[in-house]
Amino acid sequence: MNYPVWNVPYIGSGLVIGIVAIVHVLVSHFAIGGGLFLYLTEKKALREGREDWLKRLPGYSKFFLVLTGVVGAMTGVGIWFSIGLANPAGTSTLIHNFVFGWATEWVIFLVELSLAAAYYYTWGRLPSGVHVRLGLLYAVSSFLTLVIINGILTFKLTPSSAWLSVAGTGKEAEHFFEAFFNPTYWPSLALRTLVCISMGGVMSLVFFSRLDSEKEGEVKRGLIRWASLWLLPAFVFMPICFIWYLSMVPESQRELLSLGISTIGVGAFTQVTRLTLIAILTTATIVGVVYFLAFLYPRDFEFGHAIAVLLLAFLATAATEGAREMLRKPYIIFDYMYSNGTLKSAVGKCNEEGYMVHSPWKINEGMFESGNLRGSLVMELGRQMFLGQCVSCHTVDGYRSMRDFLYDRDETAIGNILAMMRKTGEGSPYSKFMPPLVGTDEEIDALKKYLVSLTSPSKGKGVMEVTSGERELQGIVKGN
Amino acid sequence: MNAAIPAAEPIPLPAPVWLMKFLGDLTLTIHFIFLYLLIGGLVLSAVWNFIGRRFGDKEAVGASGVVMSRLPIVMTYVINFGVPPLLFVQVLYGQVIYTATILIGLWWMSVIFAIMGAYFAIYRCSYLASAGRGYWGWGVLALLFILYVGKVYSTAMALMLRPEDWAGMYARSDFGVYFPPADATRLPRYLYMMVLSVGYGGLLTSLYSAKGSLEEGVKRFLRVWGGRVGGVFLILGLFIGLWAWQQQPVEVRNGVWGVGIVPYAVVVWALGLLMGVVASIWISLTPASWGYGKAYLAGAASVMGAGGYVILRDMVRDVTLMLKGFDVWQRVVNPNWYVIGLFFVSLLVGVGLLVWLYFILRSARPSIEKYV
Ligand code: HEC
Ligand code: HEM
Repeated sequence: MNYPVWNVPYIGSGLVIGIVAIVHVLVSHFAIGGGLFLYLTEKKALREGREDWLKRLPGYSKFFLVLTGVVGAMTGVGIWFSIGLANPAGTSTLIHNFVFGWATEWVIFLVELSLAAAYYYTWGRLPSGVHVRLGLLYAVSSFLTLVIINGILTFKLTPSSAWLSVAGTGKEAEHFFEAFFNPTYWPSLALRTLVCISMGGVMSLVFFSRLDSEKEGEVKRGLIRWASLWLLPAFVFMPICFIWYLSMVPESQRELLSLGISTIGVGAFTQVTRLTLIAILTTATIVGVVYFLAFLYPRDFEFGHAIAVLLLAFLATAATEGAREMLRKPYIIFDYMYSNGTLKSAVGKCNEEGYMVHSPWKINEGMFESGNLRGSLVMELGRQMFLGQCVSCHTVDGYRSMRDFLYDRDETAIGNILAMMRKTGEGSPYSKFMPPLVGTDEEIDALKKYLVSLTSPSKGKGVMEVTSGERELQGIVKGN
Repeated sequence: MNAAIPAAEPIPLPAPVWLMKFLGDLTLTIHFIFLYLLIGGLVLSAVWNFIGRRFGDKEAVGASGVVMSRLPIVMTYVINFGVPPLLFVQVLYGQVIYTATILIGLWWMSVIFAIMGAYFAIYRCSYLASAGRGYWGWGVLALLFILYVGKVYSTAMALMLRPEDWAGMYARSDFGVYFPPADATRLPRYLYMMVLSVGYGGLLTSLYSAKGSLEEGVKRFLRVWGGRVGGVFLILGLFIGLWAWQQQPVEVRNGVWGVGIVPYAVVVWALGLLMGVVASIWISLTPASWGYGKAYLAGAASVMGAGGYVILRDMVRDVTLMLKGFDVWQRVVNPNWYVIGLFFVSLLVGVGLLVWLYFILRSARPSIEKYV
């Protein structure tokens, strides 16, 4: 364990990332699709002489600027902060690989947000041709941000064989472009572009649904219809792109999708499938609702309807992001680093020398003597094993609760699970969604004792089964 | 190597240390200049709005509005120019920065929400300003958020340098709910940034008066009060800066003096502050006239003050960490120059576009600013 573990009680650090990421994905895809919407709508309105449309666009671009600038940009930074806290090792790998990709992304952001502000603040102050051109440049630059970040995101699931072949040798940088334009790069770019266009439509529906059906009926009819057309590309091309994407996913991970392959009833298998189904169903519902309500009866399309569509989009995003995460289990970078930060190549070494031996966070006798820690060394070791190897996916009492998983199991049963978890590959059904458990026998035994103490607090006195802040309250750790 | 510090990332550095330091320090300088504009601008416009409305001073209200209506953009650039420094700090000092931020994880994460809160409050203010309504309450709220964010940043950057505190903190809380134990360098470091922000912020705020279409009274107010506040807080900042230096352990101070670039950085920094004070006095004493000389002097002073400080704090970091067994210059480097080249091409194109955009904006009909 190289870095300390950020142990978020109840929801777990993974869910912190998830929550921030879902909001970010919605808004950032809107930042791209909405930019295109603004550009094309202004152009269309100018060409067709629709003064009434033009009057509504400055308000829309203000809404766009504030939402994407405040929420979009800050949740983007938020994902970055949260992955650095929840998975420093993985983040470090990504940043060492792609720092100049990210730096380029930053340059584009700088241009993009300058254009967004300039576009909003110059309504009516520039010749319309020039203003439209600003809109076009915005749309292009915001799309370029996707072109870049997509390479880094898809890398995690399909790091490319070229990169994997040199991973760990110090020559990774030589395969930057293979890692970047990896097997899922293009299908993912296509999928995300479709999502962007759809989000441009969905958010426009939200904004223009607030026009008054009586007084502004004609404008509303035009704009709502126009906005609902933006869901068409997704409707037509999404299925093809989705299949294309799946065909590029490594065989072993695609298996996670097919139901019932495994003999264990619970587990990741059904989860990926379930999430994918939710995503497909919600997307289909969105298309249906938009067609039957917005497109056919645009004047009667109310704000409430639009919010319902937005919520469905939220659900679809949550499900897709969830499925994408599950699809990569048990890795954070496929075939290279496990979700808990352990390198695949380091498994043998950890088993031989120990998981905690080289760790700066190793607990030693001295800490008990100094009074900094009470309890027993073994329990603390077990707890560190749990933090280092399990907490990236489990919590004690909340999300994927370890206590719930273990509550009816005794020491022998837990020992069996752990023994199973030490095996890799076919040897263990768990290896499909959990990293192999690593460490010396002594360490694994400590983990077992700690886990046993979770199932019944009385079995392990003075145990740290509670999370962080509470530890001090219970007098387990002395405050300074 | 210090056993308290995590092992280095196995993948080598993707560019030479000097290059990443150069890019990081350059963008951090810009981050700081926008920070000056943000914090100084928030303080002044909130106070001016309060006084102006309370005592019916139209010029104060007008000047406040001019400052406030620019803050959303300023905020955008504060955030944007924070990104590259964090990228390069994470690459170069990953072992210490990840650790430090995890150990104050709850606070570090909360920064995101605080920034969003401040951002919304600032947009709210600028809307209320253009509607001719009062907003100093929202302004104070935004300021509190910002002061909090600055505090967390200072804490993280200081904790990065204190591996000796880490194990104890981790034993106390693995959710990162506590601030680090006492560290004499922390308070002056934070105060320096905040006070100096009001100093340079005041000075730079007076430059907004260069916009021809503003009312004469408002221009005058910006110059007189921007200059006065700027001058006073810059002098204060100078002393806090010296205090912050004194709080560094003596080995660190000695080590830092031994670094070749440091004497130059000190001169640049000190000149930046002095020139800032001179510019403040000049601008506030001759508010009726305006010339590029004042703007250039104020601008150069801020760039020098920020840039000199950025280099100095970087050297304090390197020397401190070196004394504790972490030498950033010893990392293995294996660059891919195509990728780095592509980045520079994109930077060139980006800057070109921004220059083009600047001329487009200059050609636009000026906006009418009315806040009373
Ligand atoms: C990569 C993420 C990940 C990591 C790391 C991880 N798990 Fe799991 N674990 C899962 C998932 C996913 C499930 C299935 C959850 C479900 O069915 O809802 C699971 C289920 C379990 C179960 C229930 C299995 C059963 O058959 O009932 C146990 C016990 C368990 N994990 C223990 C551990 C222990 C102990 C560790 C640390 C050594 C660990 N896990 C690390 C993802 C992980
Ligand atoms: C409004 C919000 C912000 C405020 C008030 C703020 C304030 C500060 C302050 C006071 C410092 C100096 C800390 C010290 O050394 O004592 C600082 C440094 C820094 N800021 Fe910001 N900041 C803000 C936003 C951001 C954002 C969004 C990022 C990154 C995404 C960022 C990245 C950085 C980095 C990396 C440093 C230190 C760089 C180094 O030490 O080399 N900041 N900031």
